[in-house]
Amino acid sequence: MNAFLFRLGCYSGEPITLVSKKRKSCIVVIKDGRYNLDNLLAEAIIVE
Amino acid sequence: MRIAFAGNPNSGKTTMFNALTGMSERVGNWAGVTVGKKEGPLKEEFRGSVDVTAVDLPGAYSMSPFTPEESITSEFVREEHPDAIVNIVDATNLSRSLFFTTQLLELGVPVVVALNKSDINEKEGTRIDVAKLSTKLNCPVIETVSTGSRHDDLKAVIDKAISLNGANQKAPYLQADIDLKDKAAVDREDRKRFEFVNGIVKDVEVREVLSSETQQSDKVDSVLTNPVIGIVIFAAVMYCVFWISQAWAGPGIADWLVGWIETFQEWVAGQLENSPAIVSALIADGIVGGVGAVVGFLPLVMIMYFLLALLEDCGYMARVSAVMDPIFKRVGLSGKAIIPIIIGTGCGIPAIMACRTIRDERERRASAMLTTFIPCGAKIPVIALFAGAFFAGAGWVSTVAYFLGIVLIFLGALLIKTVTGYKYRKSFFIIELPKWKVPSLKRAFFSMMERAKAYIIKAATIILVCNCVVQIMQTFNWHFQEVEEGMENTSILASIASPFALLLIPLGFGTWQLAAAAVTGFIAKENVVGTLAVVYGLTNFIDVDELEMTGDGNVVAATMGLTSVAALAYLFFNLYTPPCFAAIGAMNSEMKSRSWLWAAIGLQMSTGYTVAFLVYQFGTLITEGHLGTAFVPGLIAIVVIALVIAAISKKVRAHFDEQYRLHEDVKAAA
Repeated sequence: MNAFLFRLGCYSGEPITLVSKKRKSCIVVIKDGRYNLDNLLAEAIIVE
Repeated sequence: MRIAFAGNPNSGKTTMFNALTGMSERVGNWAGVTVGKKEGPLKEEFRGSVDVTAVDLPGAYSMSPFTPEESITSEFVREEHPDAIVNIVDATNLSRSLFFTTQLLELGVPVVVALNKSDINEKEGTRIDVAKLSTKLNCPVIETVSTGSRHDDLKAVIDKAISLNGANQKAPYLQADIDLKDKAAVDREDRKRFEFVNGIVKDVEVREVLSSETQQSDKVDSVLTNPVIGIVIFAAVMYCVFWISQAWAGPGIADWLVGWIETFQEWVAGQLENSPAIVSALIADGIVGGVGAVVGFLPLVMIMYFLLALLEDCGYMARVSAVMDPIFKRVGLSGKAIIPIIIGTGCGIPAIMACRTIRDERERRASAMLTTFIPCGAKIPVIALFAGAFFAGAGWVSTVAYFLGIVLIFLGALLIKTVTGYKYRKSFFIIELPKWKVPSLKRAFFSMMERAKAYIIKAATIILVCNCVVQIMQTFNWHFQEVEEGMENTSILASIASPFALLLIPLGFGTWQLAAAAVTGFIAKENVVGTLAVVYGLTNFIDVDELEMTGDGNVVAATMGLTSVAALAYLFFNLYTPPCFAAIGAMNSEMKSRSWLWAAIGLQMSTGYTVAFLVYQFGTLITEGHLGTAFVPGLIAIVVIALVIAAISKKVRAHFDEQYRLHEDVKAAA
């Protein structure tokens, strides 16, 4: 999971933007790309 | 020389490949369309005198493969030594794309960067200093728009690639020599690489609108991925697609086409007036009639394909995937499985291949075997025929067919989940939402014409041959004498099909004609219509004037000797049994396991049989107040199927437990 997120540009220290939040999923912006994540994956990304 | 096309998923590689080679590989505006490598020679106008082959690779984010598609790319580039690489970079996402670019530049193969989707950047006001980028990357960078109509930009890229053949490019960034098995070290190096990339992007790119700002399209996406509204919208969209192709524009054009086919058939019959009855029957009825019956439905299929191409091009597929995921997760499938299902409404073969992008092996196999429950383009003629003949062309038949297909997919998924006992794995879901795009009518049109061509070729070959064989088999008996009128059941076809027909009695359609049609359906589902046309001597299934439909419809109905309930059961039987052999072949390549393949075929066969049984028996009960023929034998068959499934389930779960038990023993010993 970590490895995959990393290659998209999602790693600690890198800013990502939450654009939309739903009950079971959310949409984030990582490095100019928009992705839909389910909450299981979203929870793995701890935001500082 | 060989040029490899590598880059992030959904960056435009296949579109460029198609433009350069003249081939028409599948494209779609979402990540994961290309699942295997494709090779093809460049068109002459692009290569000049040099012999150039292009290799289109699946998208990859990095040379360290995470998905099977990335392995293909990684292995190819590393082991097959292409002479040059064209790295197609999505110019709208430089900060992510360049990660892979810098890796490719390290390989020692000359690289040309095609900065693709430059038109989108222009629209959004993002400017990239191409010259500076080229200097920083130490390789040529050329702005391209692979969807453009003139291809000077593509020619420039190829010219550059050809000129660099054998040249030495110095990599702008080299990964330090580390132990690639040391995860922490790899992590550190990757971060450094991203830092390098970030530096370049800051220097080279100027944006008017920051990606992190909420835009209009975000509001749209928010609605589309809303768990309730999103699904309602999706249902509405699909309903529109079906209605336009099968109830409105489709039949309208088909009427006109069938008029022509009828005229042609009469002309042929006229020409053959003086030849022996055999020849006349074979050609006029068997060939023209049978094939004509199938081709008559072509407009419905074409329009379906056109609309699907539009859907695939605009970027909606990823949103649908996202909104369906929670529901699919409940039955043990991934949201990504919706894409094969949507593609499956066109044709099952690309749909099954699209399952390759599903990471989890069990989910992938489950999706591959369930996706054919949704009626494909070849099944449309069958639906249309029965709707027209038995239900006066009512729209609900088609709607029910598709809806039931979805229901069966869910039930099947639940069944697989229970049998394989997979409750304990957690799989995550992430999908990129590509930028919305106005779908190209031109490309949708070409895609539709491609499909029409394929349909006609199929009709002119496989279906033609089948119809001829069926015509001959039903005209002669085993002594090769012509069969008398009224003695049709002594024909070759009848004697072969009758044993199968016995099995179908509990389903309400145990006649050899219908059994024969169902069997030929495995060669191509359109054959069900073709064979019925030949076997019953009927040729006009769609009538020019809608008022005549009911009249002729009754003729068709009477000839087949089925009640409406039995007809519905027969329709469902043909829809939900295993798909055509070509699709089964595609399933075979996806399953990669004999047992899963047979399980798939078994599941599909049982489903078709059970659905038909239930529809016929309970439908007859409701409409006529008594159960249909052979209720008990049919029930026994179903019970046997259920027992087999239960037995398999037990065996699979016992095996599962065994695996865990073994580990515990080891723990106890330690």
